[in-house]
Amino acid sequence: MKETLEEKSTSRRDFIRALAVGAVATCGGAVFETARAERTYSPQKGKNRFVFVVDVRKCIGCDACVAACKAERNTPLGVFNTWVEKWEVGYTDPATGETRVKVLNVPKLCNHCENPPCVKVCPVYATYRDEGDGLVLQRYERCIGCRLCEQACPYGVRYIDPIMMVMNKCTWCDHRVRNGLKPACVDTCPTKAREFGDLSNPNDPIWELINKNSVQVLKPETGAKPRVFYIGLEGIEGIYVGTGSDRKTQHPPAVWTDTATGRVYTFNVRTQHNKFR
Amino acid sequence: MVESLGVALPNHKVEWTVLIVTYPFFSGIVAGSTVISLLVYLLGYKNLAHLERVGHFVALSCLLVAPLAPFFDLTMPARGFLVPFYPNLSSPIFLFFVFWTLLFIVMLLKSYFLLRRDFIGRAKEGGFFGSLAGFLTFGARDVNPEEDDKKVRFWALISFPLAFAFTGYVGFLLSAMQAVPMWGSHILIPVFLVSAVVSGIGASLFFYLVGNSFQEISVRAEDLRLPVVIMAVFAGLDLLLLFLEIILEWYWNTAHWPLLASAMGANLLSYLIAILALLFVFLGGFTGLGRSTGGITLLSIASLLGIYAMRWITVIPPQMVDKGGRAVVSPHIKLIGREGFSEVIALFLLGLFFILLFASVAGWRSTHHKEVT
Ligand code: SF4
Ligand code: SF4
Ligand code: SF4
Repeated sequence: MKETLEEKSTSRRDFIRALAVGAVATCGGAVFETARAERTYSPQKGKNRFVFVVDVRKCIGCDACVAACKAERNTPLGVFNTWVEKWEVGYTDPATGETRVKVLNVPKLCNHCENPPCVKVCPVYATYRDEGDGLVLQRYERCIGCRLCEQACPYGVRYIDPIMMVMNKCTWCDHRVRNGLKPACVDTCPTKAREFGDLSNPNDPIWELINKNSVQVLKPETGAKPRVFYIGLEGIEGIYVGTGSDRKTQHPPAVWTDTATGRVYTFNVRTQHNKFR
Repeated sequence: MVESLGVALPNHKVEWTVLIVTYPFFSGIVAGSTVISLLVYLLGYKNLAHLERVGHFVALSCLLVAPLAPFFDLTMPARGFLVPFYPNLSSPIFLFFVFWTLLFIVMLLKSYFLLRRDFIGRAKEGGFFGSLAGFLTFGARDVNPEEDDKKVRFWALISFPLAFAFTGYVGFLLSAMQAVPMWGSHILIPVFLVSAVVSGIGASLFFYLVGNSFQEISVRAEDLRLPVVIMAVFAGLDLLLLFLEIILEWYWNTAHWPLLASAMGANLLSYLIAILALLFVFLGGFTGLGRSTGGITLLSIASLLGIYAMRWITVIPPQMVDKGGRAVVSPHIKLIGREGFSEVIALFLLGLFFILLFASVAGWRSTHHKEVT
């Protein structure tokens, strides 16, 4: 009987000791895990940390970013993670008859949307949004190639990789940015028209850029909440980028009259990479 | 057809072509043929039981072939099996799995109770089909056709809403793609449902009439009056919805309208086929054509052509409009090879093979149906 009691008390002690060790290990693990998570991901789970800023006033349309991206991501012929569009925007003021024309180079890439329609439709979570840092990424080994995500993306940035035969797109260079580097296209841009930053860091210079300038996003009416912020589209955001109204007439035809101001706008877009296929 | 009108975004491609046109065509036939089941088992039109049986063979065949179309369309078809393992409930493809599986089970159960009386008789004849029929009785030796009819009625009534959910989901799938002009329209789901009725009845009538004429069985055209009229009414409704869809896009003068209009122009032949064929079915159903077996055969062919063209104009032109809003890009459809017409032809032949197989095992007509012929 005594033996049994001793055995019991030993086993109870063992159990409590094991419990204590387990608790310490678990808490310690959690602390380390948090520390690691803080270093790699945003501590605010579900909030985007990384943002991309494109200052179209600075872009000279040299396409160095396009070349850098091709090299960095080993992107096959005929498909693009990024490209630079040429927009020709102008308006004629009926009161003065004055015509103003603006030519802009507008770089495009995946917006790593906060509410990405591409992720919503993927049947196997092959495209997913990392809730830690907000990157919208691909699980190449899982993609079945249904192209639902490509149809759902309002920005036309997705493509079937002709070599892997699965979906691919701009990753905001996750392999670089998660290791403290900037995306290849940002590093290469000679005029600093492309900037990349970390909003979870209050000292990041990206804050200054965003705070000092008026920023716009493309196609806000789709509700995708894109995270590439453009500087220099003010004044024409009413035409192309949208005014926040959900009218279907958001994107204008080539000639468009603003009924409020009476101004007649003309709009033209040219890209340089449409004939590679 | 235009190569590119204006400047397209560099990755733009018409991704879904003939296979995705064919997929809703098959799924629509599945749903539409259940309308005849409803006439027989809910409203008591027993004189349509032979037609319903053929319609059931057609529906079952299309149900088996339909998923192969999107499956062949995958760039990684071998990974298709991953879908149930990583289910994303917000993906329209998940709904496809749910509806297809449920409908398949219901259709199998209906088939069993509808056909086992024939399997029992057939098993006694021996031979390859006899042995197959013997296996398909699953041990049943003596059945009461009246009792079985009650069960068939039950499963037929369940298959009707399920089949329409299955085909309506295709409309839902496209309407979930708000980024593609026209697909975001709410009219798309009614278009899919109404088209389904036309093609389902059309396919059942076509195979019924052609099959009977091969076997030299005479058919009374007046027995088919009701399905022909229903097909004609729905063809008219489909035409109305098509016009409404186009007029709404034009009237609201959406930003995409000029581009959409030129994409439509590039597919003018399909629009003409759809409009003329549906008009022919609509008018023909109420005239002398709808009162003769030859005329009904013509109408059924026109209905299938018209609905295939409808599927084409729903799937192809909206994808031709570039997301940059400046260009229209033409689809590249191969004759032979991946996503080519050859795959579509193979699917149609497979469907035909299944219909012939079912008819051979279970018999073209049931000897047990008490009906007026
Ligand atoms: S831009 Fe397109 S691909 Fe990128 S996250 Fe947004 S919806 Fe997805
Ligand atoms: S193509 Fe791949 S990533 Fe895109 S929705 Fe289909 S499975 Fe997902
Ligand atoms: S972030 Fe990387 S992947 Fe995206 S455009 Fe720039 S270089 Fe290409």
